[in-house]
Amino acid sequence: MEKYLDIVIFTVAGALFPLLTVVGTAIIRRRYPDPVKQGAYESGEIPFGDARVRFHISYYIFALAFLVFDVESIFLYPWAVVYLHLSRGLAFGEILVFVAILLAGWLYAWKKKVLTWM
Amino acid sequence: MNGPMVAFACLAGLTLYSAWRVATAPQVTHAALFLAATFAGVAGLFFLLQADFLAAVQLLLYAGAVMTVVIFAIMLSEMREVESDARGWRSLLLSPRLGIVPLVGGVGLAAILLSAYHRAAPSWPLSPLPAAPDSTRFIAHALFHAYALPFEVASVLLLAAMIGAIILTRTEGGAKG
Amino acid sequence: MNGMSLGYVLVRSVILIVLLMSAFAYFMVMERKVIGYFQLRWGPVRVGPWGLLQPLADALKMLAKEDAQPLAADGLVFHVAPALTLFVALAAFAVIPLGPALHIGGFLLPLSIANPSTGLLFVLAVASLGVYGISLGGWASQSKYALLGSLRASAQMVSYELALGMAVISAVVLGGSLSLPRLVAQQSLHTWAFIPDILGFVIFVICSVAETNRAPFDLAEAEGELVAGFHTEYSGFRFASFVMAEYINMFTLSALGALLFLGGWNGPFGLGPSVWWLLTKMALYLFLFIWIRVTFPRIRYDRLMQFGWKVLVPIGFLNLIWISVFVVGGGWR
Repeated sequence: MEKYLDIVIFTVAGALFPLLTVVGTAIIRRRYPDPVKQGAYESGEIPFGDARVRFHISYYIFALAFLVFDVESIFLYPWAVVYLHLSRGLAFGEILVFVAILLAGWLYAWKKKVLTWM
Repeated sequence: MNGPMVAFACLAGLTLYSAWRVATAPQVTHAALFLAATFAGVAGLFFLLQADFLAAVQLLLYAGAVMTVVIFAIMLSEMREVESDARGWRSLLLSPRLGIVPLVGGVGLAAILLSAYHRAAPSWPLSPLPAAPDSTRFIAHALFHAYALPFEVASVLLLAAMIGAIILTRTEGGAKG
Repeated sequence: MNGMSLGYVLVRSVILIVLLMSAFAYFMVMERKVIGYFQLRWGPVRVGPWGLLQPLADALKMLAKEDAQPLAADGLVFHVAPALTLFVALAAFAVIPLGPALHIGGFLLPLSIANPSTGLLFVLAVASLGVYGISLGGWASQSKYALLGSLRASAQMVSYELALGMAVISAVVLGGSLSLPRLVAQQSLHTWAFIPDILGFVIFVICSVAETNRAPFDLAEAEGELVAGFHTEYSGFRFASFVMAEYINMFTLSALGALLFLGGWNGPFGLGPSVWWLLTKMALYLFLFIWIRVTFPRIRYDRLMQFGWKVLVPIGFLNLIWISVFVVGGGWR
């Protein structure tokens, strides 16, 4: 468990370094607020409308597909770790079936044109 | 208080505080940010229990993948701030921030969980942890020997999830809208 | 943990952070120089001899810039996003071993901050959090360019993360462990993993370019259409921390590529292990990043997504099956 404490210490120290630099140099940073400067940048045009427009559903479908395949790849990690030492024929058969079922899902997604960006 | 206890207190505090903020944040994106912090806190607790593999899975799946889906869902929806709570006695009773009903409910749930834990505790072996077990290897052997069939069924479940997601998000005629 | 070991970790952390910062600064100069020579220019030459003081000037400029923030921005998320991105990049680098543990006067100095038994999975898990900083930073800016850029970037990053995972798993099959030093040791017993697993290595290289949002996969910040993508509204040191995180992620991925596929710190032709071999391989890998950047034009977004899902993911799966056939056939004994 201590190794994770080491990681925390390193990360905090690493993040403190730029933070302290930024705080320490605050004196040379100028600050002239201006309504135009503080507006959104739209290539010089006056910004119009709300920036938070609704987005296309495609993004969400890709996120869902990613979630499914990510869960699946998690199962592959322990398999990969023991594969060199396991009774290989059996482990190979198990993973072949597993990957084949998932490839079926992937093919279904392709056939339904989900993987085609629109 | 020793080191692990301090770490546990910090992580549990982080998890509980951000879980509370998930429920009370008026801005849904802030709630998502606190949900991520909750997941990270739980991952930290797994690290503390030397369940390295589970902790990494918690980060990779919940804090990584599930949160991506949540953030995309937020960006796809109308993002308006929640109206401030109704005034008067209704807010006193029901407001998630300081209402009586959520408070009583939360405390009651915690009490039920604690009493369940106390009933179950004697049957759990409270032995000191073995020195740095390679949890991944252990899980793998369980997964591919004793639980090989459930493992294959899991892939069918994932296939069903994939098909379900496609059917739910797709409109007829190939066009998506 | 007592004070002694705490001080030990702190000293190692500070050394590594100073090294990372200087590597970041001088890799930027190298990148600009190399791109300059590719385009028959000199690159930076004005500040100091051969432009070597350029990073100091850049840092000073970044620190002196006004910290502008759009009025409509969401304050909390706007401030958290760049810090989170940097934090995550640093945490991922912490478990990268840069070489075999050094013996200095009977004292063992490990060349990583920590070496958990699931180090590889830890790197991937932490790196998968990098998507927050980008998506939330773009969302918080309340700007159309920034939001578009951040959505594109996050969809791209998750898509290529899958293929990256497939490539990494194929290397784990060959190494039989999730611990990075053990994967290197396995390669010193047999041969470097990219020889049977060349497809995995190629997928890894492509995905590492896409994961760091660099050209030709820099759709997130396609200047021609999105100004600067998700960090359009960021300036000064907040912008700098996004850039710093991008470069630290490049270091992490180049180290990972060298450790998983190129034999880590093992020397070629049976030469002994050394830190310098790993650093040389990382430098070559980073040069490849720049080379790819100057050579290829940016890919159209729909093609980028389809390339990830319809080409890289299936090839990753098939490569995994090929590697397991290779191992079953006794090719790795």
